Amino acid sequence: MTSRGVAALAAGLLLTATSGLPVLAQQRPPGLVPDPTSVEGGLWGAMERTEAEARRSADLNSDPALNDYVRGVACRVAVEYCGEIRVYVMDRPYLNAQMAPNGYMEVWSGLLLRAENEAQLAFVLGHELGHFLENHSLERWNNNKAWATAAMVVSVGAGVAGAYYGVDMRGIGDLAYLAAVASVMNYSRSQEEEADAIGFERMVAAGLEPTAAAAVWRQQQAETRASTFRSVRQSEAMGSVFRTHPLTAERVAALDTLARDRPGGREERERYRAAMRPHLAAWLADDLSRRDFNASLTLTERLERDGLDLGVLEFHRGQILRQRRDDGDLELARDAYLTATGYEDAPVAAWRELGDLQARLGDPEAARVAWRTYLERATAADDRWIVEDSLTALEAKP
Amino acid sequence: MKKSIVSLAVLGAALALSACETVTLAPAGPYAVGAGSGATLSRAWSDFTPISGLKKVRMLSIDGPLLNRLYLSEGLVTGDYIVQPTNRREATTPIYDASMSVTEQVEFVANSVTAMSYERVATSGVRPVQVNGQRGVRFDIEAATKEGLVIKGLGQAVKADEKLYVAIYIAPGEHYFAESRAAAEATMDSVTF
Repeated sequence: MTSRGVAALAAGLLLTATSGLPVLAQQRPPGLVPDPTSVEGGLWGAMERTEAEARRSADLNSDPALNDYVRGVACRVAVEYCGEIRVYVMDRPYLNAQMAPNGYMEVWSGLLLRAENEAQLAFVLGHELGHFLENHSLERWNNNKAWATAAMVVSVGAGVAGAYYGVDMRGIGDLAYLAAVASVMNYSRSQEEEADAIGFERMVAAGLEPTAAAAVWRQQQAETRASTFRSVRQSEAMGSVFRTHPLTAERVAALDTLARDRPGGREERERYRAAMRPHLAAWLADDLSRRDFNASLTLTERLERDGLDLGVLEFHRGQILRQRRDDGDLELARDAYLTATGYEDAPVAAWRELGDLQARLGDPEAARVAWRTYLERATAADDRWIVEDSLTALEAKP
Repeated sequence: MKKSIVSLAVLGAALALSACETVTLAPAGPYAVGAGSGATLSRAWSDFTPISGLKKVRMLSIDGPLLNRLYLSEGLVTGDYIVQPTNRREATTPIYDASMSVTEQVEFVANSVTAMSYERVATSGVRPVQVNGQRGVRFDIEAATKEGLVIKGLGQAVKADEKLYVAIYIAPGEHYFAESRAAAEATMDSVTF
């Protein structure tokens, strides 16, 4: 079958999944509470324990304004289910959102950083809601009991090992934390397509831009292709850190097909960026901790297209290039820091970094100016003595 | 999915086997870290290095690694890690570069603590320190475990003979950090190159 044929078939399946009463009749009714002695009741109990851990987690973002905003977007697509959803924003630098069968929803900062507007966020949250409405986790639990048990066992071992060993256990640590969630959210491709369709329809019904759905997955595909790491480049792009949401070309094409004949909607781009702005610098720094420099550059360049937050974004570009240290990167980093200092929202550290690189690249006068500007602006910084040492060393040179 | 389960099972078996390696006693007195470098321990520590998976770094503890840890590196050169990446071909953890500025050395240590699976790692109180005649940098570390336990620590980076000597002390903020701080700091003060 040609790729166009596959796309048409997938689109057809998506349309089938969202049209007609039979599918709607299978969706859970609002306010459903399962019998505690049933399998679903047991799942709820497990998810309630995971939710309690999330509330204690160091990753929990407790900014009420941000949480209210994200919850508001979730409710725009959840509508009649809004009262059942409990949203937790987690500061984790991976694209991910997930919703448990008991209504507990996690939205990770990696998603908030990558979505370009409210429409894109609404689609992803609508997608997760789709899994919830269709009881996909219950279906998968019934089909994957062995996997769920194995994940639980490994979670205990990995949690202990992560604390002991001097190796990078972050990915396994995430698994440890959310093994229970992952084990019941390892959805099939048909379930993913169904959730895409539900997310799409609910986003459009909220008056948001139909093309946002395919765009958010396409952006993730571009980041995956750009990755510094060969293993990432060679893998299929994922819509979840747990690798449970493969972003096939067919899925993206199906969403394009769905959007084709729909009237345009609102993106709510500026409102979205305003809600994210207080956390932008911290989330970018978190993203850099993954050390996937090329993917981070791709993301930064995309965020810069709107012409917003350029002091923060150019500083971050400098940070990426300085840490990557490929040939020519220090010059590019210096240029990025220099550009950043031209914007009011540049962090004061931009002048310190600029001075360091100007000195290293053989321009002592420019270094002196940058370092002095840093000292003027960072009056309470605890690293002033480092910059003063650097200036003294510069003055001592013949 | 089968592949994932097998991978996890292999990992679990590897962890179980490595747990059988020996933890040794590091008595008070001189302690060798690497060729020509070391420190003086003001009290006895348990040496967890054999089971740590670390290459050029020693790991000591008094009450167990979850309650206090002291990392001491031998002289790091360009390309060295504090925390080894899980995949040797993909540098997912910070790599030392000899051209790093003092600010970058602090960043390198802090990012390495992040790579140990700690969250919200922050540095403060960045101050100069003299260690065996070499000027270096020492700073406070604050972080959290994934479960939300507050962690406190000290970081140190001293450059000598074109090599970087790193020391990191971390412990839960409640009780344990203060309890072992003096012993850890005395060891950091005593590093030789």
